Amino acid sequence: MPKTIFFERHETAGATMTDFGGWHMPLYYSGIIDEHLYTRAKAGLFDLCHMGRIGIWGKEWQAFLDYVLPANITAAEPGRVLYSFLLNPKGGVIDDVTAYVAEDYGMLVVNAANREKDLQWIRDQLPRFPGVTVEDWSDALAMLAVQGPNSDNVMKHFLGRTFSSLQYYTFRELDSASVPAGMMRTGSPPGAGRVPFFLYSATGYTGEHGYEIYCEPNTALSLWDTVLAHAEELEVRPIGLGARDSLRLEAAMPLYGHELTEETTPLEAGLTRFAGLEKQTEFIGKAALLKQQTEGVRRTLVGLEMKDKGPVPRHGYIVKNASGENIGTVTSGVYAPSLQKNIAFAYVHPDFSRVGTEVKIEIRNRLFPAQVVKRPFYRRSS
Amino acid sequence: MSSNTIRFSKTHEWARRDGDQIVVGITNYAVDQLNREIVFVELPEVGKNVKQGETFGVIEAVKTASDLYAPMSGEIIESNMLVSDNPNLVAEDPEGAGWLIKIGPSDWSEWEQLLDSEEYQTYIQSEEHH
Repeated sequence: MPKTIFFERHETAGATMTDFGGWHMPLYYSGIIDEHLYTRAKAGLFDLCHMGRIGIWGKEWQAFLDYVLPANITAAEPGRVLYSFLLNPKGGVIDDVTAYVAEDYGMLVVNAANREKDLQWIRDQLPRFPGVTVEDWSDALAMLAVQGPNSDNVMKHFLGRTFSSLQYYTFRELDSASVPAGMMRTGSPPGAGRVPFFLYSATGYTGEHGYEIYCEPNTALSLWDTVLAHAEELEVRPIGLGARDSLRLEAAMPLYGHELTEETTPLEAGLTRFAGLEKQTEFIGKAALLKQQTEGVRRTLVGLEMKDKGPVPRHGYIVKNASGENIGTVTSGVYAPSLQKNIAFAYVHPDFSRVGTEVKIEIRNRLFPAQVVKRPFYRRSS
Repeated sequence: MSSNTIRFSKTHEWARRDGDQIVVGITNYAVDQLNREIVFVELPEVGKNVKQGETFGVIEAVKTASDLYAPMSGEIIESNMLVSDNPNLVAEDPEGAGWLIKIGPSDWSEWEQLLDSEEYQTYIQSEEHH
């Protein structure tokens, strides 16, 4: 089981570890609910090295990404981050990704469990674009995140005056000379000439203000140590995957393998604005999505809130209507610490997708009332 | 607490003898395994009959739902309503105020099949080394 460069630090901090996407990762350090609430109130530091980073450049690299993603890459200003998908020809989701558009390269950040599958899929599309190079940057670039209201202070602590705040879904790249505690690259990692030294974006998976950071691995270790050495004054703590999941669910962000699979489309997932239906150029899956738009979806993703304090709705539980007919399935559910309610994502028949619709969730042969609610479940105040 | 009046199951329930009843809860060790974050407890109705080793309820932490197993056969005399209303009471005081049910045992010979305090300690140490 692979471990990230932070593994010893997680062990030293007494983290309870779990296997996720084929990686040995911290589930929690002090407790899931505790870490969840701390991230919302202060700031959390996340090891995200298990995710995949894929670099793409060369002649027509933008046109290539425009062909494999519904996002409009050619039209994007350099410095933008776009949420998008790798789609199969049926419009099903191979993975959901964030696409970083730089002047002369692109970077896709993909889910841990899909790294190999995605790389293979992307490379399979290359013959039409002989000038494009695709390279796995996952080892050359570490990945972490700072999320929560104190994020700017945490970033400033490490970057000093180099730091500047960013607009949501934009990024900034820094060279080794402008990162105060930056380490020189040792040896020549793959893509050494192209791979960014330090890049941070105003993105995340928590619903809070914050940043995702990609950098040379020794610099990442230095950031982790420097920040956590001042954890009390900066009010920042390391956060495990348990809280990452409850944070993303409250923020109504989908998780691959749950809300998104190769059998579900962005239209069904309520992510039509990322589906590229207005895009002029051809991309894989476009025809299927346009057809589905005309014909309508047969199921749609909804947010459910349990009416009473009771059992937690979980992946795979059946959703029923008032007359007891099956109308759908829960894809993720959690006790939401910031709302103190049980919430879930579920795919249901479109007739039951309107906000306010009353449904029931079957849990251990008993039915519990729930209601379709507006997403996100949680929205930060500032 | 005298070691004669408390016994343990390998599924991490404790049973305390109280006259002709037993009080049942989950152990401190079990609560640690659930990271002391209990979000829901489902307990049986009073009057229901349970069998030793069979499920009498469910306890849910953030990430997991786990069955609760009856340490002895018998009738449910009481379910702790305080725990149903405030599941975290189990995390705060699992071997005291966070008790779960009272059973009127139908076969006291089952008591002898349970582990005593020392045996339970040995058992969880061996479990931890796996």
